[in-house]
Amino acid sequence: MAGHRQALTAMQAGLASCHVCGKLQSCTADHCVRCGSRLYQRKPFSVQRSWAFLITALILYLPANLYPIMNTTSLGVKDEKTIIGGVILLWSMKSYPVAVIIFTASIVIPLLKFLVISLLLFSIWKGHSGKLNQQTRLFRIIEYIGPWSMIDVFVVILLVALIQFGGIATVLPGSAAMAFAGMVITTMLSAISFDTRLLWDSE
Amino acid sequence: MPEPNLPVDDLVACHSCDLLHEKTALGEGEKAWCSRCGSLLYRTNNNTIEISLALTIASLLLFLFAQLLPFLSIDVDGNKTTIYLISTIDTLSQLDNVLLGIAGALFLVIIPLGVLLLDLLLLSALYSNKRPLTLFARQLLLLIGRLAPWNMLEIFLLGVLVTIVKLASIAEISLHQGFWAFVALVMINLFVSTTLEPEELWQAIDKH
Repeated sequence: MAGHRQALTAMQAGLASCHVCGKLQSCTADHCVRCGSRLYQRKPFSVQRSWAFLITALILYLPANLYPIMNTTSLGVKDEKTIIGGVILLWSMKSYPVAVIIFTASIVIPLLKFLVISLLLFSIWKGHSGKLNQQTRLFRIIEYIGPWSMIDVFVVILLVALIQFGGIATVLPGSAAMAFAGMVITTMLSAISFDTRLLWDSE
Repeated sequence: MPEPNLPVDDLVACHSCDLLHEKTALGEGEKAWCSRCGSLLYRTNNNTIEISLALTIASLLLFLFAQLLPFLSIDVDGNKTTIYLISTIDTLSQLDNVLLGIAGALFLVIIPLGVLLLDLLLLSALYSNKRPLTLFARQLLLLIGRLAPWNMLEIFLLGVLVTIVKLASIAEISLHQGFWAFVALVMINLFVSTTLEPEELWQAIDKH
């Protein structure tokens, strides 16, 4: 394709692609000609919303990791496990693949998301354009892997529902389960609010 | 570089960096990439409304099978329990934890089933081309787009696999028809979501 040095962006050309249906059109209209959504050249309050959801997620990350995610009672013996406690237990039981999956999904991916989104938000704020190609690709990757953090919540839901061994053992969700689910949901909202085009606008 | 006086419909703006490109026709299975940031601009549609409709009907049936047929059974020292997927919601609703029950119901039943039903309505409207149905097509597609990020069936499947491995150390697990229906459902869902372009559906709606 042609070089982009003198090329126009849609914003510079007075155009906007609808952020809901993607239709490219003149930005003079209030609403998209195709789907009727409000038309913006950039997602409205993208940076503020992204920060707000990200900070909420960071706050939820603490109880999600400090409180037990699952309370097990087996033959009258109570046992409370935090996320990392569960990973250590799985590792000690030599369930290495599952331990790695849970560790990645529950600990690594959320931290990676916090790190990448806040770095990109700082980059927009400073108007400093580093390697924008890499930044954009990084964002697309964490946007894709973000929801996979939900695995542990689904595992808790399933274990709670499945383990009804006639009173021999019961599993109850711990207080961290909801905090964790809320953390995943708010990081997803933060990513949805983020507009990668803002990175490129300073170029 | 696109000519400034080209009609808007011949242009496409990159969704990641907003750079304008002139649209070029693509061959079978080809994709167009942004020349600046390398993001996907558009690709040829590998799927038709007809096929997607057929797959959506199949998905709905598989969804019913997955929920209503025996999912798996747990055997602890000869004490065997068979579990249905739909009964997980029932169990969760009996707990004190209302929020987790709601989250479970939303992610396991309401959102996936909702998206499938909306898909069915939209695709059958576009396929049959009947007036009263196509009037709501826009709203349907908008709603589907809003729900899509929260449809996590494939993530739930990984959760099921992890749960099975965890339980396998304390009990004997056997998988039943419901589980296999669920696996098939996830496969079909992945296929439809990666081959059917929303842009194709918007253009189909535009023609009415």
